[in-house]
Amino acid sequence: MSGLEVGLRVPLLASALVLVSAFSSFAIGGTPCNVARGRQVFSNTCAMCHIAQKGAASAAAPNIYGVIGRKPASLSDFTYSTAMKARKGRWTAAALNVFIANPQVTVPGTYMAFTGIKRATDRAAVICYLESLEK
Amino acid sequence: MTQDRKSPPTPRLSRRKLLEGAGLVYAAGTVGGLSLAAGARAETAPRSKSHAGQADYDVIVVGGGFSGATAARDCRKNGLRTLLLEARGRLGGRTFDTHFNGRHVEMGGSYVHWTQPAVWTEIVRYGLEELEPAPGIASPEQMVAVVDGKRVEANAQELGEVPAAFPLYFADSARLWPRPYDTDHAWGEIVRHDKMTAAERVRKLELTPLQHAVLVATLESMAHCPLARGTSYTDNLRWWALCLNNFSTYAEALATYTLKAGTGELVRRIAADGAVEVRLSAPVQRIEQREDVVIVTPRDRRPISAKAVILTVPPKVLQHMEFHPTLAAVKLEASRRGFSPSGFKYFTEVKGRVGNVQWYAPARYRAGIVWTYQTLPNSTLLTGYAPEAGSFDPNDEDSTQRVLRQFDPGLEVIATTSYSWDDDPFSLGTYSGPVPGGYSKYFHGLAQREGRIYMGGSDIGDATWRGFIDGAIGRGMKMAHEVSLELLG
Repeated sequence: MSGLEVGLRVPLLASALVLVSAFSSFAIGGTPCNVARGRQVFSNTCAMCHIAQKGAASAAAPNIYGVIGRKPASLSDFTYSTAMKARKGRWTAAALNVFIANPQVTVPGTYMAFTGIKRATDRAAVICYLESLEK
Repeated sequence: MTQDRKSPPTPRLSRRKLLEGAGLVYAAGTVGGLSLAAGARAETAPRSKSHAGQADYDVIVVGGGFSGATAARDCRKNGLRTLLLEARGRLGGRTFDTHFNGRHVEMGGSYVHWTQPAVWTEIVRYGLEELEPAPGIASPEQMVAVVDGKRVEANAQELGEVPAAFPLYFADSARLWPRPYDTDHAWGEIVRHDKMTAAERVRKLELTPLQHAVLVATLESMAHCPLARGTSYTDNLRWWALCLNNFSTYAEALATYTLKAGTGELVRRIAADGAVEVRLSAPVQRIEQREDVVIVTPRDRRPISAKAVILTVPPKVLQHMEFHPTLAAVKLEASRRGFSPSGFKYFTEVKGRVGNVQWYAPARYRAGIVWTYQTLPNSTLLTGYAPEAGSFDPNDEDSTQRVLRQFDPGLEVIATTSYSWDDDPFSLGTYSGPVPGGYSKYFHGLAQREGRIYMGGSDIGDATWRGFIDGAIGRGMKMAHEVSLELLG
């Protein structure tokens, strides 16, 4: 983990990070969904800025209810960074897994002032928790 | 005195008009009743009919931290048509109270004290006097420092010796800062000592290893920067002078009391009281001064005009905004080079009750200073100020646990969090200590009004406790007064 941690701080290694995280996302598929841990990670980490509630307004950060499958920078009640607006594709579980490991490296220029969730199991759990909210 | 120092142009002073204006708006506010935000917007327009001209507003305040909110409230109460633009989706700037694992925490500026005149006035005004003391500072039971890589726990005698290092370090504070709210009062002394670094001063003192470690870690938390990078001795002395040159006020005013209601509640009360028209998520990209008007353009929005702008963004952010004509070179240089890089504040919940601790680690040991913030039924919430961004990951339990185990080898981290002010483009750091030599080079030039742009914010110019919530409010209040005199004169 510590080797990866060092790597995460070096933007040049961003592409390596994507590869590493791609493997992690396979792990997501194979790991049983730990919603309780995901709720805990959300509360400890994400809830500082994000709300995840159907229909709620964004505040310090976008409402991330329903984020899986959503287009980046797509809520009308939040002003996103230019970098995030330029991001293509959709927030799949795999894409989110890469992003939340180190937002500043994955989307340089994002307004998200957060160093990232380093434990792969915690990332999988919080993504799984977010998915579970919609069920 | 530097050449940059000029008195602002004499305002077309009319104290009578200003006071009349204030009275009228207060009256309108009272009549307008309880729905402040909605009611008051409509009331703004008639107040400055004589100045309506072609500008959309009389004043645009850029930045919705404490400085901006105060400036906007006061302008509005003085009868000026006022708009507050804030880049983020919330008010508060570099203060940000939120929840971590269900506990109320302050991720940014937080500590307040009754010796701080501007913030205390607001706290009393809005009835938010209920304070939460941090037990690690208010009633400490254990002091541990990392000395030459080893854990040293202070015994009773050493506990008595440690505070004695502080008056030694700060011995010249009263000479440089006989009036710490007035930088010009002993300007010659400040210039003479301006280039001296904290590290140079520490080297001149004879200290025990424990005193040395505690003092260095504390100075690094004051500058929020490792001493090895070069931090301002002069500015350290100002903090001590503000704290009445004594250790107990220093500990009490800087690190003990937070607002039970939170900084967010206070800043929202200030804005609501002024019935300020606020636009959130409106980062200002461009400010253009024309002959009789200033045009302010938030990103992706239409330009807005005003007769004056009060700029309250942190100095480091100025370099990334567009100004036409360009800002004075001294301001841009101050923005790029005038302030030290800053570290991070973190909150960590650990298993069990570790007691009321104070832990100190000089920069090479990464943790900075840490103390008990709250004792919980089966755990302890610690808060820390680490001097160097990137030295460890305060959002990662494993990384944080490794660093904190220097103080307590059995410690188990349950959860940990930190807001990366460094990565937030609207702050680019935490509080901003001037670099050594920064006073002589930048102090007056940075604070100098430029045409219709007035310089607010907590780190700029003289007001009250510069660099603190108090200084933000004090400076906002002062700039609102200057703008009001100018526009209503």
